[in-house]
Amino acid sequence: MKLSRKTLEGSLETLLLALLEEGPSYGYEIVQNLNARAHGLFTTGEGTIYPILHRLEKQGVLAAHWRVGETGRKRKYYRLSPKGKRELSTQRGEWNALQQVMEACLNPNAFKNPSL
Amino acid sequence: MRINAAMLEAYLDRVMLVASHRDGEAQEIRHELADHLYAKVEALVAEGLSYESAIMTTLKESGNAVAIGYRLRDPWRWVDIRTQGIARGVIAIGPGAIGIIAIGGWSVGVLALGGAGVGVFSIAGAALGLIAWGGLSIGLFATGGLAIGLIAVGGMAIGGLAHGSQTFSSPLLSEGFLAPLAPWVRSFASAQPKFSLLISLLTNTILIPLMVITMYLEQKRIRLDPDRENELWLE
Repeated sequence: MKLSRKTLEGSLETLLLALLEEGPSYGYEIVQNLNARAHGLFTTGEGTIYPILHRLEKQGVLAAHWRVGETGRKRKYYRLSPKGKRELSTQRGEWNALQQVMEACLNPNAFKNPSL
Repeated sequence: MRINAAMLEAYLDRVMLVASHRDGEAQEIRHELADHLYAKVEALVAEGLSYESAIMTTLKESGNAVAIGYRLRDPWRWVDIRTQGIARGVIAIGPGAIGIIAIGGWSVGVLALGGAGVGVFSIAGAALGLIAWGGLSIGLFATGGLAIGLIAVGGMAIGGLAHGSQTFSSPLLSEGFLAPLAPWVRSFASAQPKFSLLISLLTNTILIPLMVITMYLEQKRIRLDPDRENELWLE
């Protein structure tokens, strides 16, 4: 099974923030990391993460700096800013809540949550 | 077809052309994307792919250059002044300009001024608009050297209701529903030299200061760029 673009839409940002929570990283490495965890459930044009990264940087959610990589090329590293950490915390909370609702609706017999 | 690094550069050219960023910013984005592409090619070659296959796979998996370029575009600015590329903003000034007020070699806007203009009000060498004023003007109301429009006033006027040195008009329209406008068009035509002077004054009053401001801002930006680059590259 592959996740559709529609399902993925809006989640990519959360995924990027979650990956960057683990430490600073650059575009190529982020994509590799994402693909390794996606286990082929989705593929996204590798270049498409850059507009998201740039937008998040402009919003102050990510901070970026350049340094020379092991290849000798200049490389842009991103990390979560304090605002980004708060944003990720919010998105994580929302995602967990949504996951519970989805479970409750899609698998009502298997899911019994007294808090809902 | 030769498969080599030039294909990666061509891909980057395409992304950057659509992204339409300013020099310094464009350079940063290009560096970043280039690093990604070359890192990927190196990784694929290390996995055992031929260099050519690695390039083709990299390009395929990078995504559509035009779509990425569009997503990398800046959000709409209030004022965008450029000496290269296309300016986009509420007020846009550049070789190409798209905005509410657009001034440029070619311009598209509510008010479009420039060499070639398309707009609601278009004042240009070649003007296309609801109201078009220029050497060649085409519009609902067109006036200029060669005017083509529903109402056309000019050296040579072609239209439903035409007034000028040489006119080609449709009797069906000029004697039909446009007939009541004929006196107004005649009086406009007789006052046109004054209007032309006013338009010239207005456009020059806008254009000349804007050109001076543009040149000043660009010079300032060019002077600042080397510092900005060092700031970004060095850590």
